[in-house]
Amino acid sequence: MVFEWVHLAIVLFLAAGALLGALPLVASRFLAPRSSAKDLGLPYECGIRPHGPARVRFGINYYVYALLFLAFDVDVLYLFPVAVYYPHSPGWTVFWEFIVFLGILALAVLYFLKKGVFTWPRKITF
Amino acid sequence: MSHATERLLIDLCRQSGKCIVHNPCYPITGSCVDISIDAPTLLDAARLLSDLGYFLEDVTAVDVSEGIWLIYHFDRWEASQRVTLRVFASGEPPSAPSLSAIFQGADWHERECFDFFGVRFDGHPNLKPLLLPDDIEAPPLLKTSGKRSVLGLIPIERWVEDSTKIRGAAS
Amino acid sequence: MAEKNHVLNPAETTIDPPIVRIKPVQDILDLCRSMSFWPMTFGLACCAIEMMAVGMARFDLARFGAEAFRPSPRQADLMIVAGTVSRKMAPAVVRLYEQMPAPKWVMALGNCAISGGPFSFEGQYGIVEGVDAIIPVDVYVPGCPPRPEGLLEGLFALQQKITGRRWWPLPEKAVLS
Repeated sequence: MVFEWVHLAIVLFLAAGALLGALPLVASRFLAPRSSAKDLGLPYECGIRPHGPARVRFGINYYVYALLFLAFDVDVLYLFPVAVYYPHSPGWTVFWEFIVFLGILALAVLYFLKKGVFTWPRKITF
Repeated sequence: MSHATERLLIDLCRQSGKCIVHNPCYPITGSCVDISIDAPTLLDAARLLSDLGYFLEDVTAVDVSEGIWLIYHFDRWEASQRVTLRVFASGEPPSAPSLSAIFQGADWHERECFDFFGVRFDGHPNLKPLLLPDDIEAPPLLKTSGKRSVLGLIPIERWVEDSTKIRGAAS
Repeated sequence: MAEKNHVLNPAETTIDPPIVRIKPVQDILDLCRSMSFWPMTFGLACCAIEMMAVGMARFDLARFGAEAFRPSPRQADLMIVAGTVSRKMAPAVVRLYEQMPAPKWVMALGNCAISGGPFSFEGQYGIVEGVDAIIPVDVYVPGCPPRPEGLLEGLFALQQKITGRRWWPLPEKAVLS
């Protein structure tokens, strides 16, 4: 690899960014007084000792959001090769195929809209 | 309206046989109905008032020479038709039935009475001190001297002993 | 104060001095800290309204660098105890004071936080008579409630305690015409 000054600049930039983050931490360790107390390490700062287990039941109706995400994530995955090929494609064929694909995705969005997923207070009943 | 409530309450109390009706004196007390009942009738009376659409305003207590006198205030949303129920907390420690199953707002008021007067409420879901720390020894608002009698606190002309004598109550 | 009913547990905090103790550096740091307090809102009663008034436009606290009120003790360095501390609340005050990182200061705002105020009497059962019974206080601002200018003067007094001098002009005597 040929040495170019821009490489050095990038490395310096990286070092400066790391220093920007680390310097206050290190400086406060050396320059600031340290406090140690009985209740310093409590996880919550409400003034009351926390009680009860930390694991609580997660609302099951959040699965809808996971489902939505997964569906559109897979769609985006399929769209990556389309994006790569699209500038080299002739004519309008790819465009219309793309529109059909997006239309089916839009049907899924419409389904969820009618189910009430996008309005928060409504309970999801399947 | 308040007379109707009074009549209904008196009818209810007549089944248990004991109630004392007071002349409420609205300009002085702000109450339209003022009745002393006994502790077993309290839950029925509270249910009756809840069905009639009253909400619970306050649960407080007075340390008198006859014991601890609990005072309940109920009122309506539409017009000011305050109902006062007075109950003696009996026993050692003084106890009374809890209204928190009927009126959820009674929960904290009863905790406050427990805190300051030491009154135990039977059936209360969470009888812990509300305002005072947990390790307080004696309830602070109990009088050590200077207790008055209920006769002194409500003037004698406001006591109506026989409930049939007032305002054509149905017998 | 009447403590026959229960025991007040004061805060147990040890503050270790900094490792690097070069005086000019520490002086500059003290100046920077005193010009940018991050108060922790500990408004318990009426004095909290005065504290809020100080944070608002008329008696602007932002001029003196202290407008970043943090609700969390871990991000604050000045604890303004504004109001009456009840015995039920006392352990929470102590815990929150212990959760503040060093350097930390405490301002007792109002008579209730200084000495119990109107609630100090023989046989007091529910109020801590003075928050300095449970946490160490650096500046006391008397009043019931103190004026917002009083809180500002308390802030200046704390700056004087930390840096050694007062940085803002003294208020002029009012000229009665």
